[in-house]
Amino acid sequence: MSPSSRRRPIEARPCYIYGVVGGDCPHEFEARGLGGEPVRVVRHGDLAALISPAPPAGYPATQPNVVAHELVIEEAMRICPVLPMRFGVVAPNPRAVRDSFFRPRLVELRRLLARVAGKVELGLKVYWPEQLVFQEIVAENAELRALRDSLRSRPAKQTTAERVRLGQMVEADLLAKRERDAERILAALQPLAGDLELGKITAEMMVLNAAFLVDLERQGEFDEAMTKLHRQLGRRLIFKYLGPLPPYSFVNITLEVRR
Amino acid sequence: MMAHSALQPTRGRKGDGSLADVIEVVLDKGLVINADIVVSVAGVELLGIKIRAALASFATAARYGLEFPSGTNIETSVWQQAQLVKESCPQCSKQVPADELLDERCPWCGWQSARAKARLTTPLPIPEM
Repeated sequence: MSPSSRRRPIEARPCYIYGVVGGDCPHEFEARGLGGEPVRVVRHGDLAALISPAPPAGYPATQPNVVAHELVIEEAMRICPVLPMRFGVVAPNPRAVRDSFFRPRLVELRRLLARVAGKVELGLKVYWPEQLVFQEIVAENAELRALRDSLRSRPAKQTTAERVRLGQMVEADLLAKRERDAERILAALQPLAGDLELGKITAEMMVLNAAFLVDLERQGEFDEAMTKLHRQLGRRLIFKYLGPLPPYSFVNITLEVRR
Repeated sequence: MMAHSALQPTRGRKGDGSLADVIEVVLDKGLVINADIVVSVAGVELLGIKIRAALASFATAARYGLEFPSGTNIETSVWQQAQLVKESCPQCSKQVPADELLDERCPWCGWQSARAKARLTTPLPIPEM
């Protein structure tokens, strides 16, 4: 324990918030919180927050800190529905969590908890292998191929406009291909998920960045569907399948709260 | 049994490469309280990943347009030059060769620099009779 925890009573100290759970979630946590502090449950009516005492400045986003945050939420998730907080939220004290966070937001938080109850988040990122997708584009587009060949032997100064046009063609083909591939994957998976969140495409070779909210009972079915997709498309697509995670992507909202 | 086993999602174990993905989710998603009750929210820049719209296709063509598929890896001066100096267009943020962007216009969105505008709108001097 840090020296400050001996100086000040726990009710007066800032607290780190891990997530929101139903009031019937357990009191005792095996996992240690950030800074090695014990995790506590602060109740308000039928809801509760998972917290631990924290320094006022919070914690830096280091790997051990982020993992500690995640492990607390995962432990709770095994027992009850959880609304996971994003890493890094610190309130001035537990009373502020009760009075200023829960009280004005009870209805919304209950609704969110009901939405994620009995479900997990499964993440899927799909990429093209770089060489392969450009090979496909060149093979599929005769006009692009001809343009490319015509540029080979000419000096750059004379071909600026054509090179730009070649780039535009490559980009247009990439976008169309991304749409087709993403649609095919989503068509196979979406029927098995209760909800879907599409994330931003963060890399040129990324085809799909999706999070699925899947019923615990349908997780096996979802895995099977992924296996089938991988069998069908694994030669030309790279799948990164992640989970089960707490439903971060489905509570990805900012609550405006007044004191 | 193994033959029938379904693809299992990975989950942040060290060494399987997915820990970074879990961390990315924890830093980027989840409930946030935006309020005066919050002392601090880590302002995390998502592990240095700058989210960008699709890369400029000019750069794409420059990098790949001539390098495949037939295994002919042509490091021609054309493409090396195309990759030289690029600037982000201030309007559409695509990467455009600096000369073209500053002296002519952005080939994607048509943005013109003040320099190019001045040059292109200045009437040609009337030749002396």
